[in-house]
Amino acid sequence: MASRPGAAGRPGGRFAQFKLVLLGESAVGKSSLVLRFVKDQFDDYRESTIGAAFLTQTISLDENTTVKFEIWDTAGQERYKSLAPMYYRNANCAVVVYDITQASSLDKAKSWVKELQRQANENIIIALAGNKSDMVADSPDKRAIETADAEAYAREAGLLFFETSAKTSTNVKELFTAIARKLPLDQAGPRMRQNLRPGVDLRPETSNTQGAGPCSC
Amino acid sequence: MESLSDTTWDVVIAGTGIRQSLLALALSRSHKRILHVDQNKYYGGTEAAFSLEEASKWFDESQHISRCALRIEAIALWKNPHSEGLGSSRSYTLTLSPQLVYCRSAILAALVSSRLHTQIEFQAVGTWWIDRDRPVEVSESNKQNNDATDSHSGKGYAVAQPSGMLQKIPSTREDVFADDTLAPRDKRALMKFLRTVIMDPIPDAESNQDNPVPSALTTLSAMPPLLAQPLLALSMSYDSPGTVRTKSVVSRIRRHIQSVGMFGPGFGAVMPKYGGGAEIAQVACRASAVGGAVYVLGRGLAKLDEPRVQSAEAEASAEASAEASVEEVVRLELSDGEEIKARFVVGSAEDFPTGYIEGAAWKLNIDLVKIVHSISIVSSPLEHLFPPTAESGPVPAGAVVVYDGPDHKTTSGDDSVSKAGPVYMVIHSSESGECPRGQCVIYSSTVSSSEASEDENVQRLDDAIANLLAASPLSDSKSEVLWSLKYRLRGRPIDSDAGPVMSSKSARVMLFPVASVDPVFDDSILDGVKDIWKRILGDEVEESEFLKFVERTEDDEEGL
Repeated sequence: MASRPGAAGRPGGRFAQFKLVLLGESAVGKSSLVLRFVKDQFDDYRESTIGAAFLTQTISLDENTTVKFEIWDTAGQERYKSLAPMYYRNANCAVVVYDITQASSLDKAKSWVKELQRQANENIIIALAGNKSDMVADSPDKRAIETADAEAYAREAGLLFFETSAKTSTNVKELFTAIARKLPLDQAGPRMRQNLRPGVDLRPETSNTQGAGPCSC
Repeated sequence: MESLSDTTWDVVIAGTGIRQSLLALALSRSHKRILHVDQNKYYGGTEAAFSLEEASKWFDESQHISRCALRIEAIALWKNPHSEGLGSSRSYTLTLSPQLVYCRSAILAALVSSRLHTQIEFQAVGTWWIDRDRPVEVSESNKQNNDATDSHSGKGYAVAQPSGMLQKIPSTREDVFADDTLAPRDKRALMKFLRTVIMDPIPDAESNQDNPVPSALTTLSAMPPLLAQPLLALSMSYDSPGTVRTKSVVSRIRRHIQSVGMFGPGFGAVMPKYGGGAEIAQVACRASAVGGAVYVLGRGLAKLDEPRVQSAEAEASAEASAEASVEEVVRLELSDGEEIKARFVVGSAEDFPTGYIEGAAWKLNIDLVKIVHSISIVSSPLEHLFPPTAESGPVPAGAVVVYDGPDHKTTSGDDSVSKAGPVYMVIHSSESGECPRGQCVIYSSTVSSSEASEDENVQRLDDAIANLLAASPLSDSKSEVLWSLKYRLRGRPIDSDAGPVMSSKSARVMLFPVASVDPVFDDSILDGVKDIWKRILGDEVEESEFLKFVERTEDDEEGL
């Protein structure tokens, strides 16, 4: 089948949309990472996410290539192990987050990685993010997980790896950009070929006016 | 998180099928405390979608679970022993819910008004084909090639020669005009029918059944069977050609014709990518989780006690606070033994404890029909079935082939049409995300006729697929079935009255109406969901607010 330009119709440009899911123990900073990435904000006293949240962010890899992430931030209900499967269903990429000051959070991260590798899309791209790097900048003794250890694990498991800080925004943009670069933008299996959409627009009459205002009600 | 028993849930929804999931979606902005459980370890219930491994596990489990037999029963699982062509387990998403969705369907409007449509990718269902069966003796060499398929059923096939028996069914006047296989007289008859179908007023739901539309129906009845049959196929009705002469068929054909062009040129139906109804159900559950609902898989309802007054203290305190009524709660025991309380409990019959439905003396006295289904993975993409819908239209990911074989003439001779109902084959290309590239999935179904044995009914599905593969240009050894799953679905006949939502004496336990066997998304599902939604929320909502949501803004605190 011949390739067609993306649905967005940017002449000559490539536009691809991917589903990304965030997983990790509670309070490691999943929502904060997303908030920094999407809105460049940080809130010291974030309340925990109730169920899950859905956000989007678009990044340009180069002049011609735009990647839109549909980000699913999960939370709260790990105990029943029932929510995550519906979030990583058909996900193209995942960010598994741990807190570098909490040793147990890496164990939890490892079990998420295992579950993803067993259950999610076979071609899923997984990034491991050791968050809260700002906390060890001033007091190194707070660090519970050595960078080299986590890095070695990530290499072994085939993951992208970054130590991040949602607070200072260290490596946040880099993390998502690295994922975008690793995503297959035009070849790969049918699940990945998001830029060749045979999709049907259910609101053809409004599609031209969509960016005019988020809410017309 | 506190344990499930610490909360008095406003609503416990049992089962994650399409109806329960749409209810969860409808309630997702109501600020109710919602617990959504499923006895299965997967989402979707009888509308689930599976990888190969999950499908075979489902098959094994359904061999000894009688509870789900209410709606769905596995019949056979088969893997082609002669082929290595199957991809890895997770490269498949095989759905128990391959229903087509017509562009005029109320579900699409509801998905748009609830802002869910941006999370589901819809793909076009392009061409409807009719597979005219002219069985001929299979030559020895041909037999060799079809050997693998033969072993599928253990019986030989009368395989038709690939000689252009697949005909495109004209569904617009342009199609009819352009079809040079039609005699002028037939063209006129078809034109007349299409005109009357389009011009007849759209009947309201009330008059849907018994009040025939004279003109379109008369025109249809007057047509020679070979001309009428393809039109009947557009109705996606399981009735055999000899028995369909009802108003319902005409309005179903009208729905088809009037849907064409609504969302783009050349197609009138769509399908959600990644598993049809299963995808809609999961996306609805996700929206419900964003709204704060708690999800627990692998736990069903084990016991259910009708509400009574909570306790003397509660009564006293309620009186003291001058509440008009005492809180009524249903006490539930989950399958892991945990006891929980809920103000409302909703599910479908198969989600309630065995014996509960009978115990509650609810009458499910509807004549159920049985449909046999198969899901078949085919080794070639069958690209010829997916021509572009139109010059600028989307690439179709679905196609429909209708098989009326084996013979249009019955042995009795007085009627010129067969008694068995048609086999519908809905073919999903790999663009659907349901199989690897280079393959396709055929979802076929036919009515389980009481005049034939179950083996014969199942055999009809195999015949239809064998015929289709043989009629394809790639009818060499490349087109073969690699894997198939067969199951039986029970439900209301198509277009029969769904009946009311059933509720217990206390009105706290509610049951969705029995689902129909329609191969097209049944809009009456939404009526049942809306009814229950209104009963739960009462005066808090206006009926017109059903599934109408504003976009969740990124600042929405319920969100991030």
